[in-house]
Amino acid sequence: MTGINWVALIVLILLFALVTVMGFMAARWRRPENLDSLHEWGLGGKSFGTVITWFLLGGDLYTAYTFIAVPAAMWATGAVSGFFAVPYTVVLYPIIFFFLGRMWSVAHRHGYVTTADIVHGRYGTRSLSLAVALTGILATMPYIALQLVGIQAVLEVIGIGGNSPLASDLPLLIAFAVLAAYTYSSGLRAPAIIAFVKDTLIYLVIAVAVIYLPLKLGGWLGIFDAAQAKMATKTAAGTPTGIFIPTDLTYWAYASLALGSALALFMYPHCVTATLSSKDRTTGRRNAAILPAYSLLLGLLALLGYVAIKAGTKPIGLDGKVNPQLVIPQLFEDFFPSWFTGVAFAAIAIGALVPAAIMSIAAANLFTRNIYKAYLRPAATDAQEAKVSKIASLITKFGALLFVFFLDRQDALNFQLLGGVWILQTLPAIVFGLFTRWFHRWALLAGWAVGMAFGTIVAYGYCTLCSTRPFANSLAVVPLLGRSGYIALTALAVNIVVAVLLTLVLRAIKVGNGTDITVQSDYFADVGDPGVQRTVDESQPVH
Amino acid sequence: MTTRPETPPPPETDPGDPRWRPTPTKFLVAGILLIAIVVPLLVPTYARIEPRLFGFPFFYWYQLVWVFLAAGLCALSFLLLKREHDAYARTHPRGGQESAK
Repeated sequence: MTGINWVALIVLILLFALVTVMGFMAARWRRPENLDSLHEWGLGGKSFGTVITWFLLGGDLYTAYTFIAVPAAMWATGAVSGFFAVPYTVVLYPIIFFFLGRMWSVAHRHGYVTTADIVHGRYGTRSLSLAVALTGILATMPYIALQLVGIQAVLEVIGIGGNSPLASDLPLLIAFAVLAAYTYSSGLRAPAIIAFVKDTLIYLVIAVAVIYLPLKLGGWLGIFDAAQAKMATKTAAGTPTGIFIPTDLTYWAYASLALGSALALFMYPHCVTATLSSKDRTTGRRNAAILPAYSLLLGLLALLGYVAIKAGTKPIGLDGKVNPQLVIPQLFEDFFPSWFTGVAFAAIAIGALVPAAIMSIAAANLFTRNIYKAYLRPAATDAQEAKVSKIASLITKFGALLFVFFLDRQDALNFQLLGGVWILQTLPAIVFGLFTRWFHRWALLAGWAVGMAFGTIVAYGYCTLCSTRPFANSLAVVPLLGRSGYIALTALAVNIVVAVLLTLVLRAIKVGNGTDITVQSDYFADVGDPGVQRTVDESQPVH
Repeated sequence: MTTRPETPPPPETDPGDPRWRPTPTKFLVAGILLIAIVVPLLVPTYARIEPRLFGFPFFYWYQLVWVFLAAGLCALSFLLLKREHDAYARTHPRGGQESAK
C-alpha cells in the first residue's frame, strides 16, 4: 500500500456527492403539508410500501459495519465468530413474522412512534417505558459509532488516515456533517432514498466479487481448503487459530449467537422505526419473505473472508499493524481496477450513512417521546416534538463522532457487543406485552434490571477466550450448561425467570398492574379499519 | 394513572373476524414458522464437511440453502394468512366508513 489511490478516491467522492444531493432532495419526495411532526420527519409520513420498506430495512439491518466485520471475523477466526450471521439472518424473519404485525397495528391505532410508546400504552408505567427508551438510546450510540469505523476502514485502505489525527478524522467529520445536515432537513425520507443507491451498489459489487474472485483463485474447493488449513494452524498459545466447522464444544455458542442476535435485532430502535414507517400491516410480513435476499448476500460476503485467506490478503493498517477489518477493502484493492475499487468503497461508505441516519432518527424519537415529552414537557405540540427530535438527532451523531475520535476502535466494537446484550433485555417488556397482559409491570422492570446487571457483569469479566479489554467477548460459559454461549441469551433467560416468578408473587398479592389503554383489536387493526388512517390525523393527540 | 388525552374509542369489531381469534390456519402458520426457526439452529445436524457441493463443505452450503427455505416458509405463511383473511372479507364486506357511526 503506497500513497493514495486517487482514482478510487475520486469515484468515492463523486458517488458520495450524488447521494448527498439525493438526501437533500428527499425532503420534497411525496411532500407532505409540512415536516413538522414526528410522523412526517421521523417516520416518513408512515407511507412506505413493500419495495421502499425492503430497501430501507435492507439498508438498515445490513450495515456497512456488517459488511466489514463479518468477513473480517471469518478471515481471523472462522465460522463461529463470522458465519453465525447466516443462521442469524435465516431465523430472524420467521421470528419477526410473529410480532411485527401486532407492533405495527397497535402503533398505528394509537399514533405511537417508538417501542417505549408501545410499552407505555400497554402498562401506563413511565418507569418501565423509560427503561426501554434509555436502553434503546444507549445501545444505539456505539452502533452509530461503528458505522464510522466502517468508513474509516475504507479510507485507510485508500491511503487516508493512519497516525495523523487530522487526516483520519477530517474526512469523517465532513461525511458526518453532510449526513447530519440532510437528516435534519429531510428526516427518514433521506435514508429511504439513499438506500436505493446503496443497495444497488452493494449487490453489484458482491455479485462481481463472488463470481470473479473464485475463478481467479482456482475455485471454491481450494478456497475452503486454505481456510480449513489456516483455522487448524496453532497460535503462539498452542490453540487453533479458529473454527472451520463447530464441534460439540461450540454448537451452543454458534446456535445461541444466531438466536440471540435474531431476537435482539428488532428490539433496536432503528429497526422498529423502519418497520413502523410502512403503510400497512402486511408490508412487514411480506418483507419477511423477500428480505432474505440480503441474507444470501451476507453469506456470500462472509465467504469473501475465506477468499482473502486463499488470496493471501495482508490487511496491514497505515500504522503498520494487522487489522482484520481492512481485509475486505484490501482484497478489493488488490484484485480490482481502481475505478471498481472506488465503487466498492463507495458502497461501503454510503452503506454506513443509511443506518447511521436511521439510528440517529430512532434514538432522537425515543428521547423526544419518552424522555422530553414524558418527563420534561408533557404539553409539547407536534411541531415542538419534531424540533426537539431534529436537534436530538444532531446530538446523537455528534456523540457517536466523539466516541470514534476519543475512544479506541476496539472499545467502540466492545460497547456495541455490550449494547446487543442490553437491548435484548427489553424483549419481555416489548414483545410479551404485544401478546399478553399476564406479565406484571414491576416484574418486567425487575427482570430487565437483573438481565442488564447479569449481562454487564458477565460480559465484563468471566468470559471464555477473553482478550485483555473488558466487554471484548460475547461468549461466556453458561451456568448449568457448562458450555460457552451468547451472554445476551443467557441474560435473557435469567430476565424471563425473574419476570415470571415475580409476576406470580405480585399477582398473588394483587399489586396493581398499571393502566392498559389498548384493546385486543388494536393488535390486529389494518389500514381501512376504524381508527387507522393512512396518515395519522394530526388534529388528534397521539400520546 | 397518568394524565393523558383520551385515545380513540375501541373500534366496533366483529367477533367472527379471524384476525382476533385463534384459527386452525394460525396454528398451522405458527408450526411452519417454528420449523423455520428451530431446524436451522440444530447445529449438530449439519456440522460436517461431506457431502460437498461445488467445493462448498456441507456446513456452508446447507445453511445457504436454508436462506431460501426460510424465505419460502415465510411466504407460505403469508399466503395462508392472506387466504384466510380474503375468505372472510369476501363474505363480510367492510368499509372504513363504519368509523363515522
